[in-house]
Amino acid sequence: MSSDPLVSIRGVTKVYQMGTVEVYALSGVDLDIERERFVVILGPSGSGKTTLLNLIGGVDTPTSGTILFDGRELPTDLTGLTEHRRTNIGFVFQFFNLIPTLTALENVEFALELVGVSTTDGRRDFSKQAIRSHALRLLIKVGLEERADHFPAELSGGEQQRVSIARALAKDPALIVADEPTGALDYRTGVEVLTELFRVREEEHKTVVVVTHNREIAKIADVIVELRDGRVGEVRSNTQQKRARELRW
Amino acid sequence: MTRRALYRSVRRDIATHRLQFTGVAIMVALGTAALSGFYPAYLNLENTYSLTYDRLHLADFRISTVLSTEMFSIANVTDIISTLQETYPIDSFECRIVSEMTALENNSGQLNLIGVRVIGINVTGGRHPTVNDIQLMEGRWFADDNWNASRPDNEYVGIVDARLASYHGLTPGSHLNLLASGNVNDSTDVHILGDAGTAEYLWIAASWQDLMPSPRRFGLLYVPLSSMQHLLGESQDAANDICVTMRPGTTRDVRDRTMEALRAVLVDRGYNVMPPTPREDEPSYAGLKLDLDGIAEMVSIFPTFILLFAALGTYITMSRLVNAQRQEVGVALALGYGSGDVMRKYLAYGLVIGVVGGMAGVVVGEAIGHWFTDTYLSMMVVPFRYYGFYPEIDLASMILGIAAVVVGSLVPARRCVRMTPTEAMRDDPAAVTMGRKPLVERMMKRLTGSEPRTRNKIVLRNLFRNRRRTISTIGGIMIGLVLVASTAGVNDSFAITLEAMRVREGWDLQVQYTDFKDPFAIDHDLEVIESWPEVKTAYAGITFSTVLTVNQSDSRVILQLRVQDPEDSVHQFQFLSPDGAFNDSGIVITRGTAKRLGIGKGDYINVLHPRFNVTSFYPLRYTFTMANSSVLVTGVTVESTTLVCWMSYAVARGLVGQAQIGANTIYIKARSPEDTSVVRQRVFRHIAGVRSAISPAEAADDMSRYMDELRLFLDILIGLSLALSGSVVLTTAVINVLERRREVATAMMMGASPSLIERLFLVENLVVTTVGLALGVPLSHAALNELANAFNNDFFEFLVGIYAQTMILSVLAVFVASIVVQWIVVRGFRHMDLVQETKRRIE
Repeated sequence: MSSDPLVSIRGVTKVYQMGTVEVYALSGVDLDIERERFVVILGPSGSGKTTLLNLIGGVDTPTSGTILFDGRELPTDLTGLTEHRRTNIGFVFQFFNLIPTLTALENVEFALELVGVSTTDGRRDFSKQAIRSHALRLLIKVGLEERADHFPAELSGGEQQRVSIARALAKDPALIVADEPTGALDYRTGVEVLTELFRVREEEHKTVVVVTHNREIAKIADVIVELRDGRVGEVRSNTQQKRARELRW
Repeated sequence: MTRRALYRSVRRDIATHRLQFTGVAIMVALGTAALSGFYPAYLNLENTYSLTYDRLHLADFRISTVLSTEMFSIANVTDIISTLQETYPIDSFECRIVSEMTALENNSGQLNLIGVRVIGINVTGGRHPTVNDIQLMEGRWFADDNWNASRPDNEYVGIVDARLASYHGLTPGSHLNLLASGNVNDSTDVHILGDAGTAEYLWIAASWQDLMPSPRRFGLLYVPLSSMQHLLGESQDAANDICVTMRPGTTRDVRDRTMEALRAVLVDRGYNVMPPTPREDEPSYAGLKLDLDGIAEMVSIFPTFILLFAALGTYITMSRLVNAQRQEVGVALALGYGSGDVMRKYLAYGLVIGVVGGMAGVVVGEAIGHWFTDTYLSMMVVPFRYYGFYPEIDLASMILGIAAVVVGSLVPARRCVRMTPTEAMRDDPAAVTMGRKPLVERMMKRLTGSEPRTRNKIVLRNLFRNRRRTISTIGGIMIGLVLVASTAGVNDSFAITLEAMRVREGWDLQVQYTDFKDPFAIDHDLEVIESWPEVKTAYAGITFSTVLTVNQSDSRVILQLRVQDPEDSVHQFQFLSPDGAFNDSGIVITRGTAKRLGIGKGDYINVLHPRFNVTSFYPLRYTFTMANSSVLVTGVTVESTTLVCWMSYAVARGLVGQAQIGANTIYIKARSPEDTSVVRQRVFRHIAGVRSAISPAEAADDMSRYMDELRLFLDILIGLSLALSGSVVLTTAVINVLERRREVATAMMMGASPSLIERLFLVENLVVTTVGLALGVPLSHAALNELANAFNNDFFEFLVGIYAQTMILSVLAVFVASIVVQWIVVRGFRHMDLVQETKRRIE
């Protein structure tokens, strides 16, 4: 494993043009995200945390500055960004965003159909059987094998978010980004989802970046990044890390 | 909600969804334009005709002698009418001479005969007739009416109808060679003073037999009465036609009694007179009325058709737009806004779009209506024009257009406000599937033994996911196809009808005589014609006006009776029932006539006909009375010209009570169609008394000219339909795609390429479009039948059909439009704010 940071952000500024007014969402952000860390980006509304997540995830491009992912600068063209999202990033959304016409298993399969299943010899297997068995394995990992044939509308919020995590893992990305993953959940299911995300970091050896405004959630992070007015206010290692089930909000 | 907030909200919504709102506004505009354009155009035509009738003093009735060579004494008639005026409200009268003649046109040796109705009118001292006047449009009016053959500068002068003038280039100062005797070697030169429009022949019909003659072969020539008398060798007191106007306010009953009284007195004085012809039985007046009635039907059906589909498209679009805003409604309700506030907002929505679309529609409609009136009247050569402003129609059209949008907005809004805010804040439950595997997918799995790929499942399940959405999209596609195919189909039906006219006639040249010819003369002419090497065979026939009635009904049909020999196969019938036949047992009528009289094959029908008493065969002398005889209907045939019926010579002979009857028509079959023009020249040069000779192609061309007027209407309609179809497809497609922004954004964030998304949508759209088109094809046929019926009138019936290539082209046009429009909208996903869209909450 490389000791270089997975994501390296240097002097990143993001400006939105709102009519004649320029709004600085991010101003000169410098940040490194180490591999296999659970990073929580904290900040109040408008602090730029979602913008930062979008830039890392390749959903948006910076106005200035550079973002290196695994040592390579992120592309700025549509095709390059799509490729980056497809191979490197797993997204977990606040409202799960499962495709309602597909079952839990099929939602995971859909993600797998985009990249195939990696084989031991480094190839990508796009066969239906390989995709089906890998998707099932992922659902087993998130504890939803018995709900595999259920449609999203038949699943609880927590279950849906776990399917969403399985879907994010399907592509075997290096980085999982989650924007307010518990925002639409009650406390109990929120804890379940955080536990699952932590397991992803622990067992799947993924880097997880979670954006939240909930300071309590930050307590499970390895690293806490605080944003204020589009600037990195503080980056600190969490020395008093808690387990998800110990959180209260 | 304050008025300002309401205004702001509506304005922003419209700005945000400007594409959809523009689409809806266009639909409303087109619907409104159709109604506010065509109905005023119809009223303009009607008022123009009335104005012309009024200004040119159209006769209320006319009486003429049986034979044009028999004359009244003008002094006698004046005396009779003066006496009648003491009892009856006769306003004015004119005595004229009307005679059917031919004019010879010589184009570098190629002769052409034009049937000319020469009308001698009293223009003494440059006066205008007080009844059936004409309006000079170009040239100069008659200087005097005093024919004096001894004057060296004396010449025959005349004014022709403007249509004839235009067709044959008869400008003031040109000359017309009139064949007064029917012999090409004996022509009379007429100096043309100018051209005119008339009320009597506003619709230039030669007769009931010949309602739509082309100016190529028929026209009118007005000459001073004195020169007409001189030309025919009659005295200065002679006339064969009396035109009468009644005082204003005279009822039809009083007019009928007046004309009957006049007829009785004339008969009493020994004149051999035809039954009086009231205004409504004049072929020209009736033809124009039928045409106007047809337009009235078209302007009510076609714009309603457009408006209906516009309203339907508008309703579907607005419902979906408002449904898409359920969350906003929910938020508004949660914030404490009342349902009235929400309803007001959507009412404002509808009103803004409706008023914008409606006003644009009225402006476009005014332009269309004015243009249509102008072009239509230009084709007809009408001396006066009337352009009215009809605000009540504009207002009614706008209200209908606005109503469609307002209802489309309020119905779904009402559904929203009846929910709790929480329910409303969730997206339309119909748009959120509970998830299920459709039957088709399960069957496919059973049949193929394997499941489709997940991306294909998405496509398949999306089709069944929200039935309302899929059905409304299919509906939009269907509407698009129905509009395009059915209107284009009417155009095809024109062509099919004309083609039938060409191929169903078993002759190459139909020769019409100016007058009836006795059997000996006809036999002689047939012998001459059949001796020509280019002629295969020739048949005699009769065409004359008759009146068909049925017992116990007031219905009557004035139409052309064609007497032919069944063995001659002059016409190819298309009988409604297989046992229909043209034989010696009765009469064949058209489907149009059968419908009007409410009869069918096997029924009996009363035929008005002359019963002759021949006093001398050579020269032919006879007296006759009119009689009504009951005749069996042996067949009902489908024909484009409906005011025709057929009878065999045997039946006709029985009716008129003569063993031998002559003819006024000859049908010639040439050895090859290319010989037709040679035969025509021979006919013109060697057969006396010929009025015209036309080929089936020319007859079809005559019909085509008439159809030009209808085609004008149709062209506008096709344009409107295409535009409406485009906007229906556009708005349906836009909404269809935009409803799924979040899913698309999610897939794209997962790394699905835009091209993959576009492919998935393309496949789905292909399926929906194909289903819409498949269902639209039979519906288009049904709509075409309805539309074609609107074009049908008492003398014309469409042979309805649509060519395969037209249907294929229509299907392709809608298919391509649908796919391209949806593809353009889907391409917009490339610039979508993925983050914003993935945060949309739907559950």
